[in-house]
Amino acid sequence: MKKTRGNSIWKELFLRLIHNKRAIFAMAILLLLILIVIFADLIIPYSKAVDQNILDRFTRPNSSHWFGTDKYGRDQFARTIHGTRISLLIGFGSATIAAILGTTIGVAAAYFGGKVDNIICRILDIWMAMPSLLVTLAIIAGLGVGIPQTIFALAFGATPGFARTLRAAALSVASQEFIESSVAQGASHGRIMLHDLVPNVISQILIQFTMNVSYMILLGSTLSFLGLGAQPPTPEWGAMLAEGLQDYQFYPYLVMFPGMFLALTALAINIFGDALRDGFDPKLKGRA
Amino acid sequence: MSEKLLEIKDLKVRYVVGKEVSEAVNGISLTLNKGETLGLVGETGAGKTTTALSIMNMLPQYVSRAEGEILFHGKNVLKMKNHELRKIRGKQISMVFQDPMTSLNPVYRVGEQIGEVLSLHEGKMPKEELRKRVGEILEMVGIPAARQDEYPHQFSGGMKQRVIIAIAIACRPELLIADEPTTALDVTIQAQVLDMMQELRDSLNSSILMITHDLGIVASFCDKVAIMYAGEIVEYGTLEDIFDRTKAHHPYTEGLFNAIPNLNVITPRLNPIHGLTPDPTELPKGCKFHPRCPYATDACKEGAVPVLTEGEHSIMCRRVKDRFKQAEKEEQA
Repeated sequence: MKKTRGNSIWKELFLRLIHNKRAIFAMAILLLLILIVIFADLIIPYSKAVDQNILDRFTRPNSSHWFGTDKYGRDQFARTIHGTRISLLIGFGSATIAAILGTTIGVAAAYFGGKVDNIICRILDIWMAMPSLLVTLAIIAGLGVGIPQTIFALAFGATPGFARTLRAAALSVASQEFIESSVAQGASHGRIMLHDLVPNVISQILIQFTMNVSYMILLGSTLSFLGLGAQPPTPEWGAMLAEGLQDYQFYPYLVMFPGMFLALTALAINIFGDALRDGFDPKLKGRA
Repeated sequence: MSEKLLEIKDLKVRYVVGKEVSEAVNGISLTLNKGETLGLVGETGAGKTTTALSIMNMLPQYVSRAEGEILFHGKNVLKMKNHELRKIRGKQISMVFQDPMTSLNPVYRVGEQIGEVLSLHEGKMPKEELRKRVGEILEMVGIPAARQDEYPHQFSGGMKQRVIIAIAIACRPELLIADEPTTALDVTIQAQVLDMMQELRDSLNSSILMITHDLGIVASFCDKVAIMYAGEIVEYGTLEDIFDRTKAHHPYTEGLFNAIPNLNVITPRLNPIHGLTPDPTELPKGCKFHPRCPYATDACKEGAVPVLTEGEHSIMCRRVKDRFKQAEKEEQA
């Protein structure tokens, strides 16, 4: 007899993604960024991004300095390339922490319900009532500046929103009979949450995660722009924008390239997030 | 006499939501022996599912209060710790749920879902062996073993119900609770599923608690019958006791049988029991059936109702007192 095997959701998702032109565009850019992150040292050594050369200051983009140099004579191309690492690290790092914390909190609230849910929701209410940028600034003020602190502060701000969304998604799954059925089979609380609830909301987790990554990258750059994220001489897009801002009227290329990378990255991730949502639920396509 | 597997003693379950107290089960007692099939019959809201859930101690935590005892192998299920319960659930007692459409997890292949119970209760085993076991269990419920790699959405309703039954019987439970297993299925599939369950019962020698509101299923499937009304068992007996219409019955049972249309008689109108199931937050005093009972007297409106027993047949009604006595006299004469 012919062996029948249903397509897993991942295969279905993959098939839908490669038939979506916008998704292909977004994935191409993301792939390029990932390659840059991995091979940054091979493309151009890190030393070029931080070594100052006063003789070469304010060189316009040319064949030896593709993106020009800044007021200290540092190569802007090297800084942009190595800045990709920092920006994506901040974005993915904080979004991952927020996703893990948010999923745990949200799924637990939805699964246990009753008092547990009530307490968790009130805590989330309080958490979300604090303006996130202010809290982020306060945390950095408390912990000091640096990339790990930035990641933590950003994750702290993003967690309650994540938890809320996941709670809503998990709530509709938790009331279904197969959860009751798992209890009847003798599964433990942890197992039901991890094994039954999370896989059924994995699409929400991934979509939320993706949207969060782009938001966190932008927010991380904002912090660096304000001087609270990556510290000089670390190359970071937001920090580069802040430095370039002083001279952009005469040397607009100083803000053009990091700004372009930042915008393009956020755009690609957002488009990919949309494509993911369409891929998980084709019925939604073209609606939102 | 055969061994007692399950004994429910004076079980009371209340649902408390805010200030509303809903009296779902009001002091029922039941015994189920090994290898027996008990049909629990009653209309919607009679407390059948609540009874079933209490047997597995799966009542919703925050809103329910259960009193009384449910002894499974002599141990009180209601007093068990979570880890003890987990060992029993799925292994010794398992449950088939009402709606096959939502009882399977949509993101796992059906084989994985059957394998899950096996590995939960029988420890880890090699992948090959697990696949083989899962295949055997699927074949038992009449599904080709090769279909274990399909997802629930690739199965029809009847097939899904078979898969759910397969999950329930995977560990050869001593007690299978079937909560209206055929309600969501059409008649031909119902017959198939019931036939299959009957075969399984005979081959596994499990006891079955069959919850249904279909007297036809009871007649073809059960050894004992309990009729539930408003959280009480109003009549209990062997299949013959209940279905023999010459015997004395509770007026509610009579009403149920009268409501079945007779194929040999032209029936212009069906003959329902008038009135509605009482609101469980405001149960009538005295006999709970009296507002709908054609024989109700003033005596029925107050006080406790006696349970009259004759052999294994018991009825919770004042009225049958005379008829039981009559029957005794006739026997003596």
